[in-house]
Amino acid sequence: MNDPHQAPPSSEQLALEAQLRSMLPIDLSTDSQISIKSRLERRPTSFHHVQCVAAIAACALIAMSLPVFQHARNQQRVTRPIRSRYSSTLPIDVANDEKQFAIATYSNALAQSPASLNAILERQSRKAECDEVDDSQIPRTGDLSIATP
Amino acid sequence: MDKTADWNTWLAEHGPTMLLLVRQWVAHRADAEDIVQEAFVRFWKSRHRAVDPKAYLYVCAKRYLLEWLRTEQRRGRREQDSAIDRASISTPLFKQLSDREDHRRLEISLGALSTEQREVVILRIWGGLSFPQISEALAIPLNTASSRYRYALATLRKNFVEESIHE
Repeated sequence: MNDPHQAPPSSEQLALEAQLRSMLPIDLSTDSQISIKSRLERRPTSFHHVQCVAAIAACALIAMSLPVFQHARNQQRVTRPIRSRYSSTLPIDVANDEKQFAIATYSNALAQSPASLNAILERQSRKAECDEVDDSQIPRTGDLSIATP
Repeated sequence: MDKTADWNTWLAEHGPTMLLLVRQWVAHRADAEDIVQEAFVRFWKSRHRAVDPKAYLYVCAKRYLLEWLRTEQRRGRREQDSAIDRASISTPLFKQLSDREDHRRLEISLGALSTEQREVVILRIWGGLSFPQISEALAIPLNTASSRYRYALATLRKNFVEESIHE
């Protein structure tokens, strides 16, 4: 495309332009050329390192969103509140603190409510009382010797 | 593709013109060379984005030159260095290829132009840029670029002829 702003130059103008063009500007110094060369040919290692770190971080984030990790996190979410709830509410100075601790432990393990476990334990202890053998019915060594002729 | 040869070619072709352009604003040759270095490196790293790389090279040069001048102004160094500047202005802008008197007179005539006119003349004569490219490089309207060039040549011609007559 022709330059519309360039009027046809006169011979005088062309001669002047040629004279000006014949005056060559001073070149860049060798030091400057070496500096440009080293800056342009330098390997951008630091930028590569940043890229590597960013790539690793991205991979870690993607891996965390995989189903297997999601499942593990969900499992933790189910068990953690129960454990923390009963371990934090255990009475320390009550008389039956051992029993409370047992309830909490069972509850934690079986993921059941402490009320229902309490009922189970009560039932078990009542059964144990019923099954308890009367001491008077047990023959003693002395009695045996008397009874024996 | 040999990239090194590529940037070497660009630097060989435009480095001296860039230096000449920058030295219209910066008297110290060392400072001018630093500006050319930085501008050229910036250009080379971002040249892929340019529609017209040749014009963009001088855009980079002018942009970094202005940035540098602003920084220097803030430092207030220019006033302090004015004495040194006067001494370094005598550093030649052109190669002394011969002792031709014409060259000396032309250099004096060129120095008599305004900086804005000199910029256009430098980009046109030594940079080989078209007026649209000059307009882009200097961020001025196309008509302004061409009229500055016309006036500059008229002044040069007048001064050159007058000098010849006086001598």
